[in-house]
Amino acid sequence: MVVAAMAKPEREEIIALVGNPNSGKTSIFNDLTGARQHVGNWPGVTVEKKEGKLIYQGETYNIVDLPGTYSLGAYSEDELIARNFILFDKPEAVINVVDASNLERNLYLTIQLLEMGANIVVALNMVDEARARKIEINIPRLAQALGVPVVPTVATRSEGIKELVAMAASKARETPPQPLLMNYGPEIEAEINKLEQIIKFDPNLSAKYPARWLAIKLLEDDARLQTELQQSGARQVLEQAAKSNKHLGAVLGEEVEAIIADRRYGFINGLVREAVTRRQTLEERLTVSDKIDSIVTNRYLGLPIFILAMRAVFQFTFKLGEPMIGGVETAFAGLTGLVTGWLAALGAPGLLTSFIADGIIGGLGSVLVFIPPIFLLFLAISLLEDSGYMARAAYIMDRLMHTLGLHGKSFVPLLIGFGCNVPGIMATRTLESRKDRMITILINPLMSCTARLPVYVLFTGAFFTANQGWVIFSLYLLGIVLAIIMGKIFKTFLFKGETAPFVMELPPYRVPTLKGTLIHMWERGSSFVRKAGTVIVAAVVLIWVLSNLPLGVEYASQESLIGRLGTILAPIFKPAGFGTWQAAVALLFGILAKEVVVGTLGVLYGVEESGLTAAIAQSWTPLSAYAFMVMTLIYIPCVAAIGAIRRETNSWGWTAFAVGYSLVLGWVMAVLVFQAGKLLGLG
Amino acid sequence: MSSGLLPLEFLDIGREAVIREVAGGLSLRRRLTDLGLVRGTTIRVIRNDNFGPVIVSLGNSSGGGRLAIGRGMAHKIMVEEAG
Repeated sequence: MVVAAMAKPEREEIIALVGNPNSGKTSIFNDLTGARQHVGNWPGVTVEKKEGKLIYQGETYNIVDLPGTYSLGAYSEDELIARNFILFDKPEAVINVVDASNLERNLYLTIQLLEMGANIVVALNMVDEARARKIEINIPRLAQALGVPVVPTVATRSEGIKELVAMAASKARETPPQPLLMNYGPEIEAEINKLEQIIKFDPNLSAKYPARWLAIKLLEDDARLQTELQQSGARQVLEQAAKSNKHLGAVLGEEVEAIIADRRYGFINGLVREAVTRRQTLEERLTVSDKIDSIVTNRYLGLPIFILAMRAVFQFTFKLGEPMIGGVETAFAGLTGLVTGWLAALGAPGLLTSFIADGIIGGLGSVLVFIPPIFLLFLAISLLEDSGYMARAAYIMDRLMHTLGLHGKSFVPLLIGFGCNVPGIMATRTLESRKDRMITILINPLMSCTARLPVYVLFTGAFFTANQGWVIFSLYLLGIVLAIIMGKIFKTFLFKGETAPFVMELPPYRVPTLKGTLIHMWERGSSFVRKAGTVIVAAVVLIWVLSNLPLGVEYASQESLIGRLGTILAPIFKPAGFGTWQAAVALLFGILAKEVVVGTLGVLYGVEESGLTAAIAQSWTPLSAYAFMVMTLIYIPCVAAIGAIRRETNSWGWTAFAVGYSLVLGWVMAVLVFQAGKLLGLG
Repeated sequence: MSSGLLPLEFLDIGREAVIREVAGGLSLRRRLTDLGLVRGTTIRVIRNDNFGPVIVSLGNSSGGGRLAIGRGMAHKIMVEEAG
């Protein structure tokens, strides 16, 4: 007995959470795990992996939040991850979150889970909403028909969670049930049988997959499983599957997969008819959501309302964020003073003081000032998302974006990019198709973020005082036009193939909960701080070292390594009209954060920021200034954005590509502007 | 008497119809199946502006799902008007 117990490897019991998007899965996850959660990526892919701990009756359970999916096919990365987790990681129990007011579609996933033989508990969520819509669900009967426990919950108010936990914990101790046997009719069943026999005969296959499930999936023509089987050399099964499919197609007159889906929905309809009663007339079904939608998605009103909403988001973010930015700046200045004084008192060498004050604190400070606006922006976006409005925004924008060959859903991340590219890049997570996501990430840095604005203000202040607004606007517009062009190019050459067809759920409008919104904001914001932080520190250290070597030179002077580097690089920018070492160094420092360009020029010209306009006016021309602004707009995203690209694409290759293409594009555009301007006699 | 089948794309706001056929490839049909747009499903058109996606309400009885369906996709979903 003891030996047997010891031989069994100890592992924390896993409870997986599965459910449709918008079913309230995230709220349940938050209820179950509280603050004991962390976010990572699934190995090798960019899909978010959320895990948390649940402690119940002295036992610790590992709760894994699987990506929200409508199905367990292998249509998207999300679905594949969810499916493979259940197949191969074999969680002890699975909580299937189901939206009570949208049972038919939600149960489609439940049926698939049951067919896989997963050990499930159904969390019938949002029962309050269903009740309000006069949808009455006979829970014992539903549980009986499904053959699994069903626990009613209202996750946003933590109702039913205790019962859910108790049920899941007791389920986790039970052996998994037999997979649900759906009857697909004599013809299909006969072929399933044939396939099952072959699968059971192959020890490798039957150890890996439930035999009947695999047989059905093969008849459904699941391309991913076909490849998996091909790789493991199970040729016999594949041959039989192809034969069966052909045979069934001929006998039944249509594709097997359609019939299988029909059967499943037929089963669900019967089930719902038995367990659900509705006492609602058509008029009553014209819900509040529909009434709001008739205004918000209106042909003429939709776009203006959307623009107003976005303006409100930006007002909120930057009006509220500005004083906070000031606060952070003051705090960092104070910290620098404090640390410098303290180090001086300790008699630390000047180099160390400079390293800590100029390098670490100064460098980190210049990026960390973005924390307030980033958190505020995410707060506003989480609010819009949780209320259900963002789905409408995507609908409205799809009409416009479609003509540009982009997805409607790509618009929101691009728009956010005007505030800051980092959350813009992170917001691409809402895109389902990897291609759309990659394109949107790659063109996002072309959206002129607020950090570029100080550069524009400086240069237009020196040369274009009469029409400053128009000049700045032209730069924003240039960014948008280039984004469209580059998007088309990337789509044509790098991410070929058709776009995923546009179909998305419009969730009912809901009042967002404070807890949910804050958790969303925190997840996104803190991951910026963590991930960008590591990249930033590395860059800061590198730039500081370059500014101080060789030993004894004046910090960031032409004799320092960075000054020499600037001198070497300067000729490259000669065709663009700003071939001075100061400009090159400013651009180099600008990679740290684009507004640093201004500060750097201040240091290099040896003037305060107030005298900088005059200094600029002396050594630049209007044309070279404009070319320089174009360069600042386009070339290399700042380190924080580079960090975000690295994190979201999960690839150094694409990160390098983003840096490389923008550098080339920036240079080409700057040269183009300068040379064309000279030809026109503007120089 | 017409055969009564027409693409969802041409259904006006407020009309109800039953999905009869999806004239698309496997991946398109699978996507629609996952979202509950299968043969026999009753849908009601919430919004159709003759450009941009069509918004439909799903299911003959549930108050739940609203889907925005791209125009290309709406062109391939053949429906029969109810009533």
